Amino acid sequence: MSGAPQSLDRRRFVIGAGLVGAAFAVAATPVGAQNSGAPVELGPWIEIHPDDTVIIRIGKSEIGQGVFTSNAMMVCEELRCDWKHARPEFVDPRRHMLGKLVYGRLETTAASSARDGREILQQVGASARERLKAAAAAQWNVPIAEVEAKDSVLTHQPTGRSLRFGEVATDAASVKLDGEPKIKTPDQFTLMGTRVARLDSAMKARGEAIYSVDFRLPDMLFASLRMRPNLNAALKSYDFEAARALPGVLGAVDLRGVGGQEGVAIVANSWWRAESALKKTPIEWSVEKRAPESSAATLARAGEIADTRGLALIADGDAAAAFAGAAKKFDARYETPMLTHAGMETVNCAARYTPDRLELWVGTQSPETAMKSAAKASGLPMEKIFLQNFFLGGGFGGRAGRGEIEQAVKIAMAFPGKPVKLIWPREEEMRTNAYHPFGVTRCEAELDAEGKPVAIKLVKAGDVTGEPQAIGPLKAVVNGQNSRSIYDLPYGVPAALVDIHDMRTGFPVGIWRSVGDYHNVFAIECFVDELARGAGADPLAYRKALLAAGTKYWNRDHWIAALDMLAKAARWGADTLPRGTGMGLAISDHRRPGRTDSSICAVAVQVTVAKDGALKVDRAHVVFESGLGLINPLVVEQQLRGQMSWALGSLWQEVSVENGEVRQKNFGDYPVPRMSDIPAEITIDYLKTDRWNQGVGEMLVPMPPAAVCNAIHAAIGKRIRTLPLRRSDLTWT
Amino acid sequence: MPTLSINGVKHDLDVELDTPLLWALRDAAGLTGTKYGCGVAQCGACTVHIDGRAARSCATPVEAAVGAEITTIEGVAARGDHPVVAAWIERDVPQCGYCQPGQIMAACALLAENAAPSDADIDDGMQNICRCGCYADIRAAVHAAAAALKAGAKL
Repeated sequence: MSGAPQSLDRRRFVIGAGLVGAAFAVAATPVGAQNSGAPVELGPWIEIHPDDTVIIRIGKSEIGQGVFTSNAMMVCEELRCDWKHARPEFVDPRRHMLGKLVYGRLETTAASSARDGREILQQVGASARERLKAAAAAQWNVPIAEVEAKDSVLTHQPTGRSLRFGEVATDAASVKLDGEPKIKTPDQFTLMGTRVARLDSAMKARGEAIYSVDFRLPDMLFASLRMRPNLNAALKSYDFEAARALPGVLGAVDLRGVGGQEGVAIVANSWWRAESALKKTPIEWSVEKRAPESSAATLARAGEIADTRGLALIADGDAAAAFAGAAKKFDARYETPMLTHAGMETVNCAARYTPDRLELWVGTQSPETAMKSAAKASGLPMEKIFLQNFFLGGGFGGRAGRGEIEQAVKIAMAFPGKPVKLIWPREEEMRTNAYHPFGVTRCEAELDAEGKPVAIKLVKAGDVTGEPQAIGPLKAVVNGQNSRSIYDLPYGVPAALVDIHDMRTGFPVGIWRSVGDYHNVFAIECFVDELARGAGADPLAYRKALLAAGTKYWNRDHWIAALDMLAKAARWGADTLPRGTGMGLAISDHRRPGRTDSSICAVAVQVTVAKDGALKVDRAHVVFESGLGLINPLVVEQQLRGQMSWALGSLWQEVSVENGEVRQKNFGDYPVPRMSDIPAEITIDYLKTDRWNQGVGEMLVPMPPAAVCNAIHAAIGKRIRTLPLRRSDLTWT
Repeated sequence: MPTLSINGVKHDLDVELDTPLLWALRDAAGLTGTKYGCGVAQCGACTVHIDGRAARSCATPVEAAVGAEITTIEGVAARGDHPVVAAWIERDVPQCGYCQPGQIMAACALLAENAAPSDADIDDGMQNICRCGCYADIRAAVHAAAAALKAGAKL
């Protein structure tokens, strides 16, 4: 590991404004500006200052998941610096791209912040610590083994002499270790695993945290835009004449085909002036009549497709024979709609272009993609592209590049030398997206006389993006998101068929918190509930029996343990509930991983349905696999409570397309949960296992919809198989 | 050029009178703590106080705020010991944090009217959207701020 100072541009990233105490080093310097002082790097992740400040570079985007705190903890656990000296900052994506991806994977998706970070950040912390110890030992001319590092101080144990980290960092930079030190195991953690207050809470509560939409330069220009109102539209023409003379308006930029979108932007000296000018700009679109035209028609077609055999993911036993001889048949179709992210901060990106330098200021979940998009859009080589990431006002899979980078570059190239910030209006954000795809699953099962399933058949049809890969025991070459968690059935059924149809409808679809698991858990966990009720069994006990009957699923004992914990936490079956009130549950593990990590999550809810159909979730209970240990339980619990809200809200949401137009334009027609929708009681219990937790950020999301629909059945006897809930009549007498 | 009184300071702002107060605050006055979320008074990310009452600044024209005293999150935070801000920090409420200035402004207005709100009062009084779903933590922080008020803290 080389400790030589880097010759690249050095800077402090802008993450907070004003006086934010000692928590963050802040300076509103343009990207690439030189930084003074004499800090010393101990590898690309760690920089130690003479005053003992430790800059810890965070290679993931802060989208609310607390990574600025939790990933800094991984370094400090090993480095043994005083936590109050830790200063997280974003990594420099340019250094990453030019330096052979020195920071691993910056993309912040798939609940990967802790999973991607832990081992490497522990390792860089441990290596830096050993180099500091070696430097101190050399100064004192003593064996390294006699030096202890603690709270940013190096102490020679026999004599009590001490040096601060900041005093030996320069020497440490030239130390070369013979080998990498061992990193701590969970039983040795002192910082990781404890509830550490977030380093960004104060600046966020005080309105001082800087999101890219907030970032300002003195001569900044602003742009708003209109994009195609129809999925099948192309920009035909626009008439800028009326808008041209409006105060502050500077120009219009044709965004035809830019960033995969169709649109036009207007640039002005304030965003509102740009937006107002667009309202006075007639725009003509040429609309082709072609698929996809209607989400309802496409869902109906998916239903027909799910009635036919697809590509087999699982084919256990002789299902045909089992179906022929069974006593009781179940046949149901489960359906979930397209959804959107609707993060609070709309899409935005600022750019400044000169032929020698392209600067970008953008909150993004994928700096790598953003850098590549900017290079392609500008025609400049990667070394001329500078990107600063920012806190994001929500991610959820929806801020990994939606065309805004290319659009901002195109706009900035029309105003060379001027920083221009493009902000999408909410209406544009909502109807121009890569949406969460719909999912349709036909579920069939046969029970024997005792109510045990002898055969099960699931056929899933869903829209896909991305390249197929070999999945499941049969190595079916299919889309990984569409088939997530149904290629490996934990429940033991003698004959099981699981088929998948990867559809390509032409709807713009992409990643959304928990992706295909959202559909698949909804189908399986509701259908198993149907079987349990059909067998006259308690749904929790029935699941345990099915799990116990399974022999293939390696993680089944932990599932059973999770259900036992859930029963206790939720007081399952303890009370006789009145009609109109009922409990339901769902369980899954998100990734069906190898044997070293897993993320079981089980959720139970109690709902009350009023006679007029009004639904209230009274309480919710979560059992979550903490495995060998969590990094920071405080942020994990924030995440789990937050995902409960996200998922309960999704019960009412739908992105629908009619005549090629996305119908949802703002929060008025895309309802999101508010305070009164969230149960006052949400409990969280941890299931400790001998594996690493796989991640947190999306693991709970698939469970609440199934748990709520199962609870509705328990409450009023109606089985909900289609979301959003407004499609169902929940009234009862 | 309208003049607005924001956090006790007069600002001459280069905006048209029909400009939403939100954009006057953000683009002209440079106060970016107040956020844009929906533009149609639905999400509450833009909540400020106009003469002490919570208002959705994205749907309030500058004209309607001339002559009034406008308070933004920057004004509240500048006090340093504000019980609502303190409760938010103590409880670690924010996740992405984007809606939190608006949430805090809404909570201040709620507590000014009702210094000891029940859960139901908070449900009714806090209609701002949080996509991260910090609601349980917001509710707890409002109760904590109410307890601080009872112990003598001032809004």
